[in-house]
Amino acid sequence: MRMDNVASSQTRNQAGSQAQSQTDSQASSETRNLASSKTQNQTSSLASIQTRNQTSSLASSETRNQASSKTQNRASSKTQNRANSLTTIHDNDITTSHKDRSIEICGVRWKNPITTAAGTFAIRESGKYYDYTKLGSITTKGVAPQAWEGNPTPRIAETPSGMLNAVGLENPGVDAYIKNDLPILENQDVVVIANVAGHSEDEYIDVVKKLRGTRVDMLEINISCPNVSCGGIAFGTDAETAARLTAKIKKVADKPVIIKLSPNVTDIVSMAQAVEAAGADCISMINTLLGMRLNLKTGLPILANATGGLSGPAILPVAIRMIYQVSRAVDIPIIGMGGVSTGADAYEMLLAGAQAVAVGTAALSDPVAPIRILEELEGYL
Amino acid sequence: MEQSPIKKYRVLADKTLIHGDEIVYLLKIDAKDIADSARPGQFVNVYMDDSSKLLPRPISIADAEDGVLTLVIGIRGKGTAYLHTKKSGDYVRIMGPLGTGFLDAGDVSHELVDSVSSVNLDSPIASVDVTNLSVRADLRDASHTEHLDPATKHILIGGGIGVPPMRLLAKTLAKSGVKPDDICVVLGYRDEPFYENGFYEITDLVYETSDRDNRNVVDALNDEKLTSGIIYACGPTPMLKAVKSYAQLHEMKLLISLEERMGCGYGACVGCTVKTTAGKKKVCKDGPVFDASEVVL
Ligand SMILES: Cc1cc2nc3c(=O)[nH]c(=O)nc-3n(C[C@H](O)[C@H](O)[C@H](O)COP(=O)(O)OP(=O)(O)OC[C@H]3O[C@@H](n4cnc5c(N)ncnc54)[C@H](O)[C@@H]3O)c2cc1C
Ligand SMILES: Cc1cc2nc3c(=O)[nH]c(=O)nc-3n(C[C@H](O)[C@H](O)[C@H](O)COP(=O)(O)O)c2cc1C
Ligand code: FES
Repeated sequence: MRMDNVASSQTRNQAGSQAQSQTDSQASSETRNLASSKTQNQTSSLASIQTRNQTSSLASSETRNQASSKTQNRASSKTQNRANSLTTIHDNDITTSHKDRSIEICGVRWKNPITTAAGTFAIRESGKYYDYTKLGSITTKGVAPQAWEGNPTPRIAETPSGMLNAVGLENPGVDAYIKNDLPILENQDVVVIANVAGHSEDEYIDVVKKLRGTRVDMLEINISCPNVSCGGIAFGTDAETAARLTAKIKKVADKPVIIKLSPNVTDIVSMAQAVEAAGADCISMINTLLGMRLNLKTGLPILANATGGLSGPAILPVAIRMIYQVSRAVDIPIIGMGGVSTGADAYEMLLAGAQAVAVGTAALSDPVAPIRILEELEGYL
Repeated sequence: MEQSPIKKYRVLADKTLIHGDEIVYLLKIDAKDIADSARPGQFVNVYMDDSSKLLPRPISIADAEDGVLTLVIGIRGKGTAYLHTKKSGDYVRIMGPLGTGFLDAGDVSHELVDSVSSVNLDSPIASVDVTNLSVRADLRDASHTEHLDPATKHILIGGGIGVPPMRLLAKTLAKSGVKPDDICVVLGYRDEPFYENGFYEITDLVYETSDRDNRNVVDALNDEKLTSGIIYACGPTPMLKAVKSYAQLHEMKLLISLEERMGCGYGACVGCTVKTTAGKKKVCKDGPVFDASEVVL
């Protein structure tokens, strides 16, 4: 009881007003949603969807699809194709020793369905431990128009089967990225995805423009970082804002645009549909879930930023659920991520409806995890 | 199959050093590749065997000789308590050595290493690291003590769990020809001393202080008038701050080893940064050892 009080009052002081108001508004909107759905449905918000559709929430998208037969055909043929291609590859397995695991996403051919998750892969540091050109693609850390300082430390806290991070998108800026990082990749045979960050529409557009004509093959727009006070997740939690940003980026981008979704929303499906309608070529999901841990001795948050993003095996089921729902409601491909630490997890994510899978936190507990997971996944394909 | 740089190593000996309010223990580990390339101030990542504890525990290299790696660990939480259950014959999962040590911060060998890794990066590496790392280690080994000025006094300060890494440093300095009288060791403990004996084999100039006697390492520096030479320090931040003021007052060069919570320990996650005069740097890769004049404590 005493600890609670200490914790909450001190958190407020520590967190800084912006971070705090974000947390506050998040918490209160969540409470509101929970509360209202409870009153309406006498149950949780997930169950509320179930009640409405007389069936599961997954079925809810199917129900919706039935309303428009076009959508239904689209969805089912997509699932069918995926099933076919999985079987085809499986057949090849038996007859050929050199297996082709390649996939095509938005017209870009990947050698296989595995990529790195943004912020957990560094060309030099990770490249010391394995040959990343063996991966389907590499996704580099978020870059903004200028260098960002990020948050103060501690930025990392361990959680049961997971971790919190509040790096706050420290990055050297897009010019430094183009000058120092891209040249290393110039003559390497690997698909490069640049992860783009910004505080405002103009900042995102700035980065996207600067990446025109560069070595980068695809753009992943991070509208879902929970660790920066303005921008980032602000774009990822409101469908209209996300759609407007997507449309603007599409106008200036010269490569496929992947929109990275936040799980910190009430209705992930409507977010996905909004960015699809606005022209997104692909969706990646999920970014981290907002969380917090306290130091038992001081009662204060462990992270200097108070809150941080939860990643690692703990979030796998959340990612699987969201990918399952979204893949049945949109036509564009999905790059899945969130807690994948084995080939079996990656396969489960493909079965849930992702076309490709990114490995993040697993690479922090073992530098070669992306390659290991690729090799394990091959056993399933 | 690409080899993981995390390998299983056998525990050769385990010993509890102090067992009071504070529990500190020692593990001797059969880890030839790590021991052979370890430099003072570097650390290893120790991994848990249970995947509910995902992150590596960074632990300094206390000693490395004849293929045996020594770690001295204080119990702070779940991970360090778990490692205390490891007995002779058990295995631990370790990656290392990692980071930039006391004798290679900012010197020529450091730049050499950078140029080596960038050469390798231009042509993607097929079966990577082991060779790459050993090139780096060789390069550094050949030159990392050459720049030492034989006339300089070396003052080594360890506070609490910052004592152990000073051991390999003292030993390396002695081996590279620094005279015993030019190596001076100041140890600060909260209560009981631990891991202090080895220092007396290297030099007679060992000063132990303890909070229980109301005497700390800066008191010892003042009492012994240790006002010239280079200082190396590892310990809690308040101690580092006090030593930094002392070094500034006497215009001495000070190298400090920093502690920070880590996500990866190898430079990938940017979780462990410290503010320096040249922008933010990574404790796990650019450090843990930094020139004190460069960092904001
Ligand atoms: C470069 C470096 C060298 C170190 N050398 C030694 C050494 O030689 N001997 C020794 O006993 N300790 C050393 N430490 C501190 C040691 O890493 C922590 O005490 C240990 O990680 C705590 O883990 P835990 O599971 O017991 O604590 P928990 O609190 O259960 O750990 C939870 C998480 O927080 C991290 N964490 C908690 N406290 C610290 C801390 N003080 N520093 C870094 N991470 C922390 C853990 O690694 C883990 O990820 C060193 C730290 C660094 C950064
Ligand atoms: C340390 C760290 C840094 C991250 N940085 C970024 C980033 O810069 N941009 C981004 O879009 N996502 C970032 N993420 C989120 C990951 O890309 C990924 O979406 C998330 O961690 C879930 O996957 P995982 O459980 O496999 O890590 C980061 C995650 C971690 C752990
Ligand atoms: S701990 Fe990941 S960069 Fe240092």
